[in-house]
Amino acid sequence: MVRTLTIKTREYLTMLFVGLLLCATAAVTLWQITGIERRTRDIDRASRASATLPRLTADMSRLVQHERAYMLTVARQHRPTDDLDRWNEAYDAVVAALGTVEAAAGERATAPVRSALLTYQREFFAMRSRIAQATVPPVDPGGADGDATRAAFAQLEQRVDTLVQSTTAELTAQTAGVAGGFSRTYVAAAIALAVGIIVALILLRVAVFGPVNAEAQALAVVCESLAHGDLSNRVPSPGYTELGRIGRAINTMLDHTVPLVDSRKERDRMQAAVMKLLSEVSGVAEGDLTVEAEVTDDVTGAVADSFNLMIGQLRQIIGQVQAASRQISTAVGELRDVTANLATGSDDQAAQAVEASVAIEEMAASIHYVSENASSSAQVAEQARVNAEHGTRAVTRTIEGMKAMRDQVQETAKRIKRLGESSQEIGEIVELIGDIGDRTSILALNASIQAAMAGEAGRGFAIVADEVERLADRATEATKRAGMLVKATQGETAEVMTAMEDTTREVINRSNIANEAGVALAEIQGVSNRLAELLQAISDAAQQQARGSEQVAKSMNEMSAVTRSTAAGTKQTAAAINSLGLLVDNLNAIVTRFKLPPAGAEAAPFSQPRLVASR
Amino acid sequence: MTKSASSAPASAAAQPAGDAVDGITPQAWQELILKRCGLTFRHVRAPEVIGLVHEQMRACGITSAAAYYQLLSGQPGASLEWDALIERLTNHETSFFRHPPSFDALRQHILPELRAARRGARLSLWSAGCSTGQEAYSMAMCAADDAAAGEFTVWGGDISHQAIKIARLARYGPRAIAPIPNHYRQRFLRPTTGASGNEYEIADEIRQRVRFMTTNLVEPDGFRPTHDVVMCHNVLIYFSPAAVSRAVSWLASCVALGGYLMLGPGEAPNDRPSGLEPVILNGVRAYQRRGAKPAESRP
Repeated sequence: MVRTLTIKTREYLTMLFVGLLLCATAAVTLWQITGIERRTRDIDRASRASATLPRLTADMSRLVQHERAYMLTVARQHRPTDDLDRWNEAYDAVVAALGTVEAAAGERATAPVRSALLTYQREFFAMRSRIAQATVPPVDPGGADGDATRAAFAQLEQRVDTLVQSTTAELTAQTAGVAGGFSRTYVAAAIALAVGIIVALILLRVAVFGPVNAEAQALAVVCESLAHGDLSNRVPSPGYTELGRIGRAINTMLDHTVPLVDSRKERDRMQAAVMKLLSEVSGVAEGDLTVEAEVTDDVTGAVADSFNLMIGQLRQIIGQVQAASRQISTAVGELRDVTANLATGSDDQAAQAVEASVAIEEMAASIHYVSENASSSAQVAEQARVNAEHGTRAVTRTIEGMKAMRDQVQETAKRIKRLGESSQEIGEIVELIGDIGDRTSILALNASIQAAMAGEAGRGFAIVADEVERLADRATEATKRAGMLVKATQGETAEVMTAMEDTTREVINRSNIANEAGVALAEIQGVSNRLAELLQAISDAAQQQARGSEQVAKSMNEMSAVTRSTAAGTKQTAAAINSLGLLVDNLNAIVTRFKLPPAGAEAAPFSQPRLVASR
Repeated sequence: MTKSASSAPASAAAQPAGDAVDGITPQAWQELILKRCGLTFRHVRAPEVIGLVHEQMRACGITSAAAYYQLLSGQPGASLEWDALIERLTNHETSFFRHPPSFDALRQHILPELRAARRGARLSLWSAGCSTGQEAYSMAMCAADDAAAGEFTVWGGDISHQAIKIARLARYGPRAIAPIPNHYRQRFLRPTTGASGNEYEIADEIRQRVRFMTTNLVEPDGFRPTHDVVMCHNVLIYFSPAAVSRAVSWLASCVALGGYLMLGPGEAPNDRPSGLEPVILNGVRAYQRRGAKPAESRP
């Protein structure tokens, strides 16, 4: 167990041990000195007691004097005196002195004195009470009545003497003890110190210097042999001290060094192989992936094999990366073109949207104008319709008037016709009257002939016949005139009839025309109605259109705003794609630094369909 | 000329319609604009228009709508401030040969007739509301096309200074020139490179015959030239009916005897332009001033 402690621990332990020894020595010395001190205290007490004792004896003598004085006074005078008070004072002084002694010498030493004092006091009080009660006649203080008191005081004196003697004896004894104590103390301290030093030295030798010395010796031996190139020596069983650790380290170092020294040739060979491998593969560092390391039999062969495998993988990956990078580059180029077009296009589009919105605004205004015009046209058409209606009503009234007129004319014509017919009849009657006149005239002629034949008789008759003939002639004349008048009337009537017929025809014509006008006006009214409806419809449609065009104009405005923002977004996209293009160019520059074998030599080209599919 | 607001930014529409700002209601603004420029706005665009007005107000450093209203009320329609506001409110949409039948009618009927009538005198054509000049240049191309083309001048007028500036530049992008017929393109355009890539420049042959100026059709200045052809397309649609009547009568009064007024399809006014007769040419309606022999109308 001791072997496992380090030198430092040992040092600490030794110091601890020496410290313990010193402590023990000091304890022994202290113990002795304590004894001396105790004795010194006793001496002190004894000397203080002996110093207080004279005071006690003095007080006692005062006490006994006062007692005597009391006795004497009482005995002489039978009356109280102040001696009793003085005795009491003296007694108190004695008690106080005894207390002082007791404090110095201890209770045990003074106890007999105290009991003797109490006895004396009791005796004195008993005697005093006897005196007071006069049971005892005043006696001689030195007589028998004071015997008990005197005996008690004597005992007290005796005990005080004893105390004085014992105190003196103790003082002497203590002084002698102190002297002896000092000499014992010297001896004990010396012995303890000597034993401690010896034990410490032994311990140092055994626990510290011995092992350390041995280990240092062994180390020195090994190091000396190392200095001479001998690597076979080892430090024998190195301990756990620092030196032991050095020893183990030297051992380990030697164990490790020896094989290295032994395999120097092997190392040289390997180094050459590694150098070769290095020179073979150094091209890779410059990005040349066409190199192949030679696979030899030794360890570097395995490394070369692994290296070739790795380069193969790397070649494949770089090939794929290059292919991908080329494709990305192409794609980004296309994308760049597309977005550039898009940006230009969306700029154009934005401009066009603005133009379109302006144009649509104008269209909306135009439609609004048309719509306004259409509504006023509808109003005009409505007016036309109302006017046509009025016209129709007027024409209808005209036609009705015409009709009435025609009817009236026709009625008149009929009447005139009837008038003509009547005059015809009148003519016939007039003819008949003419015939009658003619016949009457013939008859009158015949009658006048007959009268003439009758002669005178017939003269009167002849006159009558003449008269009848004249009348008949006048009648014939009148009927001729009447016939002429009737003829004239008939001619005029016929003229009137013709005129009336013309008039009737005219009226009919006119009313036909008016009818036609009425029909035309009715048609106009119909058309006007239709026109008004159509115009209303147009007006409604135009208003609808106007509202629609307002919507369109509004939408167009919004669209043009959206288009503007889209154009801005497209520009940003184009910018982003441009920077992407730069990044891809960088990537291309980076991956083309790697040199690859000619295409086709390498298996597993980049899988193109996947890229296409993902696009 | 005056074409109402281009695609206004969405923020411009922030002001809700019907709320008065500084005591000026949207209606008051619209009435003021209507009075000065004849521009009317469809109900739905009212908030946008007010937004544009406020934008212009802030642009000239005025914070109170009432103050801006005062400023604008106190200035004639041709003032700089009105110009700036109108720039914001007008729509510059136009294109070459926008309504091809109109140009066919111009080339095939109107111009030959006028040349015959004027016997070689210089013809004056007016593109009223030419915006960025395409219509004026299209008219000039038609007029220059004929082999028997005589002297002519095309006047382009618009209320927008900005548009007139672009028109005077006579440079157009590839999309703008797309509607120009191929043979015109080869004859009258010169490819060039501008700020925004490929551009085309109108040939000097045409440019020298086209003049531009700003014109307000509703508040015309006293100057009243007469023109043989007045073309006014897609302008009246932005006007109130009253402004349309005023503008049409002004346009009509600018038509020389025998000359034509060509309005956009669908822009027929409610009242026939005074003193003009409607004619249908190549399916296009135009109005002609008839009277004494056309040739005598031009001194």
